[in-house]
Amino acid sequence: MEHIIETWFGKIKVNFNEEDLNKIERYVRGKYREYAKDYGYDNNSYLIELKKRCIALAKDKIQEEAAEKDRSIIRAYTILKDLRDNSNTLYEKLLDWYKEHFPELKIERDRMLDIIYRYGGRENILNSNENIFISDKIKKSAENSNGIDLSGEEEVILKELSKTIKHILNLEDILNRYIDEKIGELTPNLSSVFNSRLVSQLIYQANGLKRLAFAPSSKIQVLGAENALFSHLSYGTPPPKHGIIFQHPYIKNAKPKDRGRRSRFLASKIAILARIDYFTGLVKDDLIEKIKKEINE
Amino acid sequence: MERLELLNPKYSKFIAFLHKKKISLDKNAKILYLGAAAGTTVSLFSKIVPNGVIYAVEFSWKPMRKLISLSEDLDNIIPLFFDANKPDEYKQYVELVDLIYEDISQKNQIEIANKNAELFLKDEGLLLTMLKTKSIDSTRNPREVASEEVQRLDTKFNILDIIILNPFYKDHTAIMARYNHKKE
Repeated sequence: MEHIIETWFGKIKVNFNEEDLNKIERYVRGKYREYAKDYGYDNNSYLIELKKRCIALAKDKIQEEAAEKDRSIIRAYTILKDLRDNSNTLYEKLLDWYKEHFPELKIERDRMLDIIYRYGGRENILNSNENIFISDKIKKSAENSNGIDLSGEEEVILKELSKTIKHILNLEDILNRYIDEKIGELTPNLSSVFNSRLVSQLIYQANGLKRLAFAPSSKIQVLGAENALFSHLSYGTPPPKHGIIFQHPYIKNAKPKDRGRRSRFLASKIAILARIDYFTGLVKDDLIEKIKKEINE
Repeated sequence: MERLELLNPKYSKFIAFLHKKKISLDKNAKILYLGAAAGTTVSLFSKIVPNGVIYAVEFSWKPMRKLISLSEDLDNIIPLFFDANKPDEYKQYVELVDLIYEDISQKNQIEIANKNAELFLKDEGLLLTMLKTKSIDSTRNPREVASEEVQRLDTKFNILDIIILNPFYKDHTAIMARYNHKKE
């Protein structure tokens, strides 16, 4: 019987009294180099040519993967995540220190950073003439404060720290804007129903829009709840009802008994929209309106 | 081979393995390496089998870049950007080999070894797999997990040795087996 077997150097015809194709292929695979001689490859050039092919193939595939648009979104998102964690803990530590010196100062974060960066210690606040930054109330509490004194060295540290935190917050803003813009381009449908923070998190967890589009809605539902899911699969603990999608107010604000049902619904909608985004990229206005209406009801 | 043992066993699992067990490889041996990563161990094999060839399979594009530049320097490395779980995709590039070396921390590591051996491993060929017991079950004793996993190896394999790579690699167990393809 004649068989045709595909190899990297071409299709070869072989004659065997054997039915099982796997066995024949295995036999031929043991003698690739002998067959390749007919195609003009000796022992040396066999490897050289094969390597050339394989490297070209791999380079093509790498290009494809690295060029996917969602890579940059995932990168930006991971940086943003780290920055957020760091800016929060750093700000807490800054406050912890500064409150020893001026416990009465209670204002929101951005203004707090501004004031520490600009003035440092209490005395400078008292001596300032800039009424825009320092209200009379703050001045009064600075006068009567019962905090400990700050040495010059410590003042420099706190000033520099607040400056650093301000820089980090600024970078967060830039990244947020970048992600918003890119997510809007990449997933026009998904991001018009859900906010970009949720969408970027989904893409990050699924490791790319392609994988999100190919994922079943049951997977999307528990994306981000991997620990709970695997402990369910291995030890039979209760299964997770929702992962990242819990952030959405539709689930977050629901009664506990409705949450499972709602997260199933939401996950199925995300699956539909992600597939439209991945395969067509066209905006489906009527579908978006319909889903928005269903969610708001 | 003897001099390789002088290297730091933490450099590569293969050296840690050589510290525990001596094996010999022919200079012309062909090797199929699953999970080549950036090619640390691959470059060792390249020196062990100067006249042979190493088919290095890796499915992640970041280490693949390094592997490609390595293979441009060392003649006997063939980089294959494929999923080791789907050997059908790269079967037209690979010949029958004398050794399958597997170092992929996957849950179905043993099944992957079975599939690849069925297609690529010579009769009387050797399988060397670095089983990461933690990626199979992180809560149980590695020894237990390894002895259970060994049961899942194809019956065509003759198990020669099971070596725990303590203290160099705490989560890894090396399984060495000889292949007998004709066995039913």
